Amino acid sequence: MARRALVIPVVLAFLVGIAGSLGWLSTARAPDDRDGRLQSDATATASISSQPREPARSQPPPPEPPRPGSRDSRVRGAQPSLEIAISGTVDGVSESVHLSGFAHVKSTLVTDPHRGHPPAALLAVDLLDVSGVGLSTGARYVSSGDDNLIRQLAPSDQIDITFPFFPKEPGGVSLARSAVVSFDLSFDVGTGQVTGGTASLTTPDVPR
Amino acid sequence: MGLFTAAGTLALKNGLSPFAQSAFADSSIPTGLPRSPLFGVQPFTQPMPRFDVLPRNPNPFAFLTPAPTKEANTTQQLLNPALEGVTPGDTGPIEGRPPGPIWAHQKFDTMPPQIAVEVSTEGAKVNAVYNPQVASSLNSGIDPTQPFRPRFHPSLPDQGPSALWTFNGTLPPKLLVGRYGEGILLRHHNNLPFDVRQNGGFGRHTLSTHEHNGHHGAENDGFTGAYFFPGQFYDYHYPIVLAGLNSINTGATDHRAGSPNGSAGISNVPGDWHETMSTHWFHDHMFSFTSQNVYKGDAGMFNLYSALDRANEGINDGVNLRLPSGTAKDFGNLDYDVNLMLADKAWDANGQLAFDIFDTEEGFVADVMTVNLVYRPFFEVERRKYRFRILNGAVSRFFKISLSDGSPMIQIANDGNLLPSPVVITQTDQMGIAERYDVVIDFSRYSIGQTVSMVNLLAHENGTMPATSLSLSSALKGSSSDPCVGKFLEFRVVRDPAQPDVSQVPAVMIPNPDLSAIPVARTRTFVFGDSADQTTNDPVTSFRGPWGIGAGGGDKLNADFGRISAAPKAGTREIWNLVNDGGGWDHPVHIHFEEGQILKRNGSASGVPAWEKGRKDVYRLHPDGSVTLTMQFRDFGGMFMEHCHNTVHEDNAMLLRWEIDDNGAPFVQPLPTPIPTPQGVTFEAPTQILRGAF
Repeated sequence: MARRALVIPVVLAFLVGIAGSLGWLSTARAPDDRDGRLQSDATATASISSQPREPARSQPPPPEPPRPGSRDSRVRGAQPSLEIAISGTVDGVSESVHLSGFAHVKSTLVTDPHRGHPPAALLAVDLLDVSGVGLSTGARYVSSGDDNLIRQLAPSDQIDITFPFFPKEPGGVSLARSAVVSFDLSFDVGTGQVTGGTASLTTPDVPR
Repeated sequence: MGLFTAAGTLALKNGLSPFAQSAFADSSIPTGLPRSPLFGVQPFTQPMPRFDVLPRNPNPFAFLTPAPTKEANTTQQLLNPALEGVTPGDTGPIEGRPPGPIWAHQKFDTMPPQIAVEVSTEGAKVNAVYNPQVASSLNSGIDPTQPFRPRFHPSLPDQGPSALWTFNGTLPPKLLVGRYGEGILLRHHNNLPFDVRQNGGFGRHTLSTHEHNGHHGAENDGFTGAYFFPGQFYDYHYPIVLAGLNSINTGATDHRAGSPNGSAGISNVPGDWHETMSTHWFHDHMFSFTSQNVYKGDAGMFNLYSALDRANEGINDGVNLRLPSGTAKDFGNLDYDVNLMLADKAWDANGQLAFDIFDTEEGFVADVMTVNLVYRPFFEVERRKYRFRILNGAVSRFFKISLSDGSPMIQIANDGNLLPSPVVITQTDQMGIAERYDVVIDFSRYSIGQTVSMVNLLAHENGTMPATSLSLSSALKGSSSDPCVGKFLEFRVVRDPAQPDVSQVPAVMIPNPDLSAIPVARTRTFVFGDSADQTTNDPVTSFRGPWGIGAGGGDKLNADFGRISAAPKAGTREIWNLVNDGGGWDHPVHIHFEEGQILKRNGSASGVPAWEKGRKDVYRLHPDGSVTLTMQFRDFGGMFMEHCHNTVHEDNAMLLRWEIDDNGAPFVQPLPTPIPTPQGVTFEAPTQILRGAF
């Protein structure tokens, strides 16, 4: 797919702080209480952004001890959400649209040493806070972008995600167009957490 | 380790094929097999065949011989001594359905079937009666009067009768069509070889057909232990009703709860119109052999038509959603409503379908991408909107689908259920095995002569879960070691439509049923993982494998279809927590019988993506993830299943039985377990009832 790089540097809002202490949060559930596990997972999802999406917990409970006979194959850490600012202009025949907002990126470490599979990161990327303005008409645009990805874990990774946006009006979905956001993400390979990132927007070569 | 090929030979696995292609020399795909030789075939050099529509015959009681019966037909026949456990002179029933009142067709007297469909599962043969129910111009020029050979490409070898087992023994895959309020009697004949060894190296000759995810009595659900033998038939009665028919809109006064009446009108039916379903599929569910039999071809799709989703885009009655389809027929227009069955396949040096039966743990992932059981085809389209009903019909492979130019699609349904509102996407979520995504693509954005392709963005390295999500540009570069990444279906824009496109994608489709006034009777938790135990040793019902499901706080247990793990009360609603207790695998969990609604992912309501906010029947459990869902148990009784739909996991042995057995006579508590034999089905008491099941 040919596409034209446009612009957009980006910023990034983030992080740190409690990151290191969150490494085992997903296993931080009450032993012998599987019903309670759901609640534990939920509350374990802390935000390290300036706009938390989930309530943070102050102290993670201790890791669950390994169960006899259970293989050491698990996800470690329902990870915090990283907010990355997005801003840029996407060209199009109908009109160019300036998009801005935030991507919420959450990473979860997947390991499976029993089978020798390399560690991976489950990424949940939420672009729902991205909206735009048509540069010719002034029309409002909204995006519709959730994506779930799995990536081999590395200190840094580049990820391109195509996402749709469309006029915020009745029937607007039929006028949907697409943009590509390219993330440069860095990871703590020990915990699987995404520790930083930038993003840029490009225009895909979509026939009109 | 080795592998069995369809030719029945044992070959060493990995890298010894003289046909292995260097581009993927270091690939682990297919798992457990050498690379599939392509015999010089290039992608996108054959048209994609539309599904082959099964003939519908009115009046099953006159059409079928013998006529269908409420209870199983136990008329005796002489058995073939090639069947296991049969001695010359033995007799057995002509129908394999368990006998007696518990397995009698529910609502057979009040809702007798009106349509007969007769199919057989048998070895591959030439199709001389292909009926796509669309003009050749809408089927990429395929002439249906020409014999359709059982092969993945015109330049690939025909599949032999022991390699490929399909409905009616032919390709393309079969499409069953039905409408609400018009019950279907599907008579399924088992015409597979009597000798269990005549399977080309994999596949089991006993069958149980699951209509996924029909709201029917359990006797028609394809229970894994209600299988039938070669030489027998099984009558499945699909009344095609809206859930809630006994308690909601019982007078059938709401015209949104309706069915096309054949003359542009609506025939009202009882039940909750919010429970309307659209895209099902049907496949074998043989205990411990589902992966092999489905892979071998025993799968089809089922379009259900309703007043809301009648597949006529022209009728403007205030109810019809007018989704892309066509206008010529009152309902069921397939012109622009296209079924796609995605499946990865592998074959041996002779081009015969092959499977790794020795992998009982991770899952089988093959190296050749097929759509509607042909190798990477093209499909001609007009400049207008199309609806695609996409089924993941693979054994263990997940798909993530994008268009090659990254342009938007509109997802309108998930697991056969129209969403409350359409969702604009540029790539699908990771599509688990057995999930169905209906998407609308508008080709009017393209010019005549242009092409655009569907692209798979998800790479596997093994069958446990996807390994890597690729960007669109990376997937198109062909750099993945997984041969099934990249373009797999090429759309060729060939003309303007002869008639204006009057189809719509409404902003509101089918809102979810309102369950707020229905109390939650019970909350249960099911834990899916490995290192499971087996507590029973019944030679028929019990199986050992690495996988298992823990219920009610107990240990994870291997499958035993004689064990009762849960027994919700009829007419109640429950909340079920599905928990993946490991990080190295992804389980697409299927719960039979009634659609559920996902309440939370990983404990968070906000974690449920837009495309999962409708009703579902497959719930993907991400590594160490959880899904909280709610569902009801009503209208019918009997024994059903819950299992991983990575069918290798299911077969080894991540499956459990649950049942609704307090729905009045004839259901007893607990239900006896059927034990099929060629001489007839016997019953035995459950091998185990888990504490807290009832």
